[in-house]
Amino acid sequence: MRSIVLGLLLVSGCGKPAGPQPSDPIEVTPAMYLADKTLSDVHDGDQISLEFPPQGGHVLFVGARAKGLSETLVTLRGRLRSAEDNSIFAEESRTVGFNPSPEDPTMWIPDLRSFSNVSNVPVCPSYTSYDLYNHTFVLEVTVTELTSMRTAMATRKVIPSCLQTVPGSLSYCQCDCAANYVLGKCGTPM
Amino acid sequence: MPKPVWFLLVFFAACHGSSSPLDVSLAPPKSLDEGFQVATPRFDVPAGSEVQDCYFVDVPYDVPVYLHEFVMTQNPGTHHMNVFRVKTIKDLSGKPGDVVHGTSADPGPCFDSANWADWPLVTNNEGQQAGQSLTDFTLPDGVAERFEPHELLMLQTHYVNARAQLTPGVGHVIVNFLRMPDADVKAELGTLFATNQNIRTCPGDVDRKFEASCRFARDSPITIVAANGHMHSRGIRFTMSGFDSMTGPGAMFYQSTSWDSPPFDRGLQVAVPQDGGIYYTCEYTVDPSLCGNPGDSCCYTFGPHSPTQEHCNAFVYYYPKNSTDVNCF
Repeated sequence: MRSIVLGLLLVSGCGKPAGPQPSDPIEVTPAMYLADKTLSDVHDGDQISLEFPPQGGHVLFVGARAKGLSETLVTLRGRLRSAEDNSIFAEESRTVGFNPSPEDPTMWIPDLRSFSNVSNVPVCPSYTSYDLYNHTFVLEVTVTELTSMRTAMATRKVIPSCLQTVPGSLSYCQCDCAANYVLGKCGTPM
Repeated sequence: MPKPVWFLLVFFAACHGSSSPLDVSLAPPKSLDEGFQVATPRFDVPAGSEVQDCYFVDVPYDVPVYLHEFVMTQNPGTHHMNVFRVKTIKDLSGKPGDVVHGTSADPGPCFDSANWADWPLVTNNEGQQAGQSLTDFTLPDGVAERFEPHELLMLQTHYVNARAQLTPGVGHVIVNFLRMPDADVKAELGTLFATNQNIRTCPGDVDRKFEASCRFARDSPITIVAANGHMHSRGIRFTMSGFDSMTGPGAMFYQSTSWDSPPFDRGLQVAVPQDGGIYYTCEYTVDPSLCGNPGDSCCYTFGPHSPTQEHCNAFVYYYPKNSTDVNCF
């Protein structure tokens, strides 16, 4: 009898535990990581910057805001898919810590002090026969709790873009991300 | 500035090296028809230090040649040896016979991987297999790497004598490059070097995992014939799988749980469909007492210095080469 009462209390909201329950859904909002170490929600049609890592290539810094998480350690996965046939051009995932956002504690975010805490989707060089910039692709972001394996995914149509302001860096990005890359084609970055 | 050095490009010679148990030796090819040898001098690796040197050599032929076998031997203490074709020059260069010397105290351009970002891999050997100082990498029948007359190569050696990796004697690396008759060549070998650059793992991390794709089989299906992976001492597991552009990561074909002597798997026959590639993963565990970069919460980030930085590098050999070798970042 006591257990039935307790169950009724939980259903009615009385005595509800503070955190999300395993049956609660996780909600994911894709977000790009910006140079000022903030997240900006990604909307359909948004440009997303192709960034240059230390040795070469260009990546997308892809993070997320997640609601309904009950674990701090998650796998954050970013995928760039074709908008035409859904094929995968690039995929990356990593173990990341998520914690309540100072602005909205129901929304959890990664540690924004470093871009290593967001997915670094390796888009370029483009060894495909497609230009991987200035065209629309589908960005797929997945968050999975490490222990419970609860998971959620969201997609946005995005335009990977070379947004460099230095001319040499801009032309290097455009060459690196253009179709049919071969080693040595673009020289080295400025 | 590169300095001319006393390293040896040997052919027609009959050197059999030192007899020290800590010093390797390797007989060179009998003639240029058979191949050629590149050998570094023996060099000290002072306690508490790392030594990374870039040796420039040319392929000693006046006509294009095909190489089918690479025999590599290294003294204990080696962290890696990589051979690249020299392409775009940034801050690292040399003429045949030059060496650019680097140490942990004075790294110089041989430690800065941005300087060889578009240099195709030729061959490599990571660490040293237990009880095995010689690695014979023979390509499948009819498969060879093509080299142009006097093409410039760079042999990079990295020795460590600090913290988790020690060099008991001196550094010494020897490689034999062996030919195949042109008429026997049916397919050119392609090489893939992939490195996940924005990794970061910190004291207390357990099984922190990084995964990335490298899609490169643009022109046709390819077959992977050999592979190895490279991490530093916080690395606990490295894997590689095939990658299908429609379904993503597939079956694992390579696994290493030994950061200092990762297996160099040869004799593979991994089919990768057109538009596919590889998917590679690195996992790290960092003891809470360790410290990489004191200025970054003692975390370990991408970089060549084994005691204080980390790597997640994949080396893959495949055929046919198609239009290019591959570097993925």
